[in-house]
Order: sequence, then structure tokens, then C-alpha cells
Amino acid sequence: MIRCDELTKYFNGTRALKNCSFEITEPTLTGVIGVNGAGKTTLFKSLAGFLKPTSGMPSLFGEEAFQNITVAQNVMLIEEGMQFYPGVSLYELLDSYQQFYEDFDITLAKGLLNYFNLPGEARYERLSKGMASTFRLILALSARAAVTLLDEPTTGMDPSVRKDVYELILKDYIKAPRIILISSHYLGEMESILDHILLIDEGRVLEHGALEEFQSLFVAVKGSPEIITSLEEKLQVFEGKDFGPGIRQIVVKREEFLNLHLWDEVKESLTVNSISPEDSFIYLTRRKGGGIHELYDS
Amino acid sequence: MNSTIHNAGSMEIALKQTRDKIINNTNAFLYLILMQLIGYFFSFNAGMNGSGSNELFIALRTINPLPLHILTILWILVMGLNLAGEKSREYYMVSNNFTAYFSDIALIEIFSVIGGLTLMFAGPFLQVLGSIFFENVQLDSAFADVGLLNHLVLFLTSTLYLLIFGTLAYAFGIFRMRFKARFILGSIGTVVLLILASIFAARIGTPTLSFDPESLIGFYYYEQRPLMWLLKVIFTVAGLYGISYLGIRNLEVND
Repeated sequence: MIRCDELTKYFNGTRALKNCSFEITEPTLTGVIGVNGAGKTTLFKSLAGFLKPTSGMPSLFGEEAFQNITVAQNVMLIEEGMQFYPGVSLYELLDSYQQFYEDFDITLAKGLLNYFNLPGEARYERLSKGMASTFRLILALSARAAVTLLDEPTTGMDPSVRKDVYELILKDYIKAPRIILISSHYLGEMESILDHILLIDEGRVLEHGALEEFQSLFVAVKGSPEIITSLEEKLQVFEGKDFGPGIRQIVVKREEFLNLHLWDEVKESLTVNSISPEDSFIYLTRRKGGGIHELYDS
Repeated sequence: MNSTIHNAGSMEIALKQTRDKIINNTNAFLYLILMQLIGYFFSFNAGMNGSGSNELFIALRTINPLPLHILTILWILVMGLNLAGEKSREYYMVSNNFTAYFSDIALIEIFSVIGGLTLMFAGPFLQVLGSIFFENVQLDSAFADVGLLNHLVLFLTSTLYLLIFGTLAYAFGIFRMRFKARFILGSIGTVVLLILASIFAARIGTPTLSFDPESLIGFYYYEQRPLMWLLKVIFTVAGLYGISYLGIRNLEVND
């Protein structure tokens, strides 16, 4: 359904995406995560056919995305910068979108406006930042497009509304399974609803797979400083921390740790814990050249 | 996959977009009314001569529809620029460059027809207004025997001139949007080059090379053969359509 093959995009010599490759063939609720400037918005705009790639071409439904009318009919993209005609009420905007998206569920849209206390007669440009985000999300979900791209959908929302919104996305996905891509910096908030993760860093796809795979990428290994120090020499350590004089913890890749084939006595002296997907994201995308501790301790 | 993949044709989408744009551009007609009201005001005050003595004062006022035409042209220029400049909002609904272009052109044509109709009725309307406000209104002999066909010709010519100006502004707006700051710099550079070339041509004594705006206007305005005039206008509009499409083709949406 979505296929990106070596997708690269430059803006005036600045690289936004570099050899970005992945494929999604089944309905999934995928979290597109990455730090600021990782290329998430550029990826979404390329998938929606807004941007012409420098090389490679994303294809959706077997067709090249750029300026393709079939792709446009079956993709719904929302983002903070999206624009509407000025002076138009929310009800009028719903009516306009209903004309273009054949599966648009106007009953759902009006029901959601009521649920979130958005006055249908209000003009979009007069909404607060959080209310505008909620309205955009209502549009996106009600459109019921085969591919729904939500770029930072919770921008400006209160924490309580954000929680509601993630539940809403999940509920809608269960009701009408389709490909939904959600981008955010805050993986922790949305990991409970996601089934897949697409991690982008510096324009490249670092990881793409089920959330469980992502959760098991790293382990936190805790034990005596002597054993941990010996492990540090053999493994790539993503973070090291001392817990008092006799205990040290390191974060390493699970696969590398398992490949060490440690003796049973050593294994028993260590405590091995999984880490959250959010922490995995941080370790994978952390800036090179040491953490904040090293900056202050040097 | 539960979702259905929809595959409506470009023309179907373009027509839906045209309808949507008409609904969302109803303000354009209010602006037209406003501009034409200003135009009527200036038409009445276009020229005035007065003479008199202690006992008698005679005021001769000329009602001239030219300001009305100029302001209607100004209106279509602004509409053309607006349509080209406010592109990104439509792409979030179903759109591509072709449908956006098609619906924009359709809207400029609709605007031109409405502008042409209002200008066709402007003459009789000015006469009516004149007879309300002044005691004695004399129609210029050149317009004394104007029949239905003349009115239709006026409508056609006004519409086609408005179409030229609207499409010209649209093409300008599309290129300005596409090339942003580079377009402004390029335009300034071109004007400077043209001026320099004209000065140079005048100095070396080849006046045929110098740019004369009046000859450009005269190319259409002084054309006596109706069919030739129509051909000139149609080719100009077609050329501007082509240039606009070249500008919008492969345009990215990235505001």
C-alpha cells in the first residue's frame, strides 16, 4: 500500500530525507518518531504527493505519489500549517471536505465536534491552538481515507485532551482499520495505541517494525562495577550510571548482550531489565559525542 | 484492508474544486460591486466644465465610463493574483496541480464573464443614473444608435479583455509563488535590461527595437478586423494559459 524506495529529498542543498526505505502493506497504526528536523514532515508531504523527491519515489496503491489524483483521493494529511479558506465556519469546512472524500463520515464529524465542545459556527482561524488541532484531527478521522497521515496531531492540546485524542484514534482505527501514520516527539504518550514504529533520524529510517521488537531492542544490565566494567569493554554502551558504590547499570543492545553467552554464575549476578520504547528512541537518536553528564563532568 | 480505494477522474475532481472555489470566493463579487461603485463615482466626475456670469451659470459635465473599466480590470488583476497566491489550502483537500490549474482558469473565466456582463449594463445604467441626478442628459452621437448586437460585442470584448488581464495576473502570480524572491529579482533584472536595451537602441538609431507600450495596446485596441482581433485575443489567452500551466506543473506544496 505504501512503498518508499531510497527516497531522498533536498531543500536548497539541505538534506531532509536520505535513502528512506520502508513498506507498509497492511492496516497499521504506526508511530513515526524522530527528533526535530529528522524529516517526518517531509516524509508525510512526500507521501501525500506534495513534494517531488530529489531521487526515489514513494508509491501508494501502486502509483507514484507526486501530484497523483488517485493518491490525493485516498490520502488525508493534517499538520499544524495546513490552511483553510478564511471566514469559513467549521460546519462549512466539513461540508467541503465531504464533497472530496467519498467515505467522509459527516455524522461522526459532527458528533466529535460536539464531544470536544467545538462550536460548528465558529471560524477556524479564531480557534485556539489546541482547538484547531482537535478540529484538524476530526477532519482527518472523519475522512476515512485509506491512508491517514497525522503530523503532530496533538500540538497545543491539554494533557487531558491529548489522552482522549489517542483513545479516539485507537477507537477509530479499530472501527475502520486502515493505514494511520502518526508523527510525534512524544512516543511515551502514544505507545499504548501503536502497533508499529517507524523511527527516522537525520532523514534515514533507523528502525521499522512492530512495537514489541522496538521494546526489546535494548536492555538495562545492572550488577557489580567489576562485572559491568568488563561488559563495557565488549559491548557498545548507550548509557552508564552508578547506583551507589556497589552497583552500576549500563544500557546495551539486547542482541549484542545475548551473543556474549555469559557463564551462568555471571548471569545470575546481573539484573537484566527491558527499557521503555521512549528510552529506546532516546538512545537511538541521541546526539553523538557523549551525553549531558559527559559535558558537565569533562 | 477495509478502506475502499477511490479513483475518480481528474476532470470530476476539477469540477468539484471549481464549485468549491466559487462558494469560497463569493467575496470576489462583493469586491467587484465595491470597485464598480467607486468606478461609477469617478465616471460621474470624469470631466467638468463650467461657465457663467452674474445671472447665469452653466455647468457641462461629461460622464465617462473609462474609470469603471479601469477599476474592473484592477479587480480581475487582484483576483488572478489571489487565485495564484492562495494555492496550498486546496491541496489538503483532494487536488493536484492539474485540477488546481483547471479550476483556477475556470474561475477566472467566470469572473471575466460576470465582469463583462456588468460592463455591458454599465452604459445604460450610467444613463439612468445621469437622468436621475441631472436635468438634461445628452448621449454622445457615437452611442445614439446602439443595438443589441453592439451590446453583445461590448460584452464579448469586455469579457475577453478581462480574461487577458485575469490570466496575465494569474500567470504572474504562479511564477511569483514558484520562484519567490528569485522571481522579484528576475523581474527587476528584466525591466532594467529592457530599459538599457531601449536606451542603447535609441542611441544607435534603431527605434524599431525600442519598447513602446502604446504599440502593444494598439495591437489589440486599434485592430479593425473583428476576426483578426478575435484571433489575436484567443492566441494571447491560449499563450497565457500555456505559460501558467508551465508554471504550475511540477509545483510543490510546501508552505
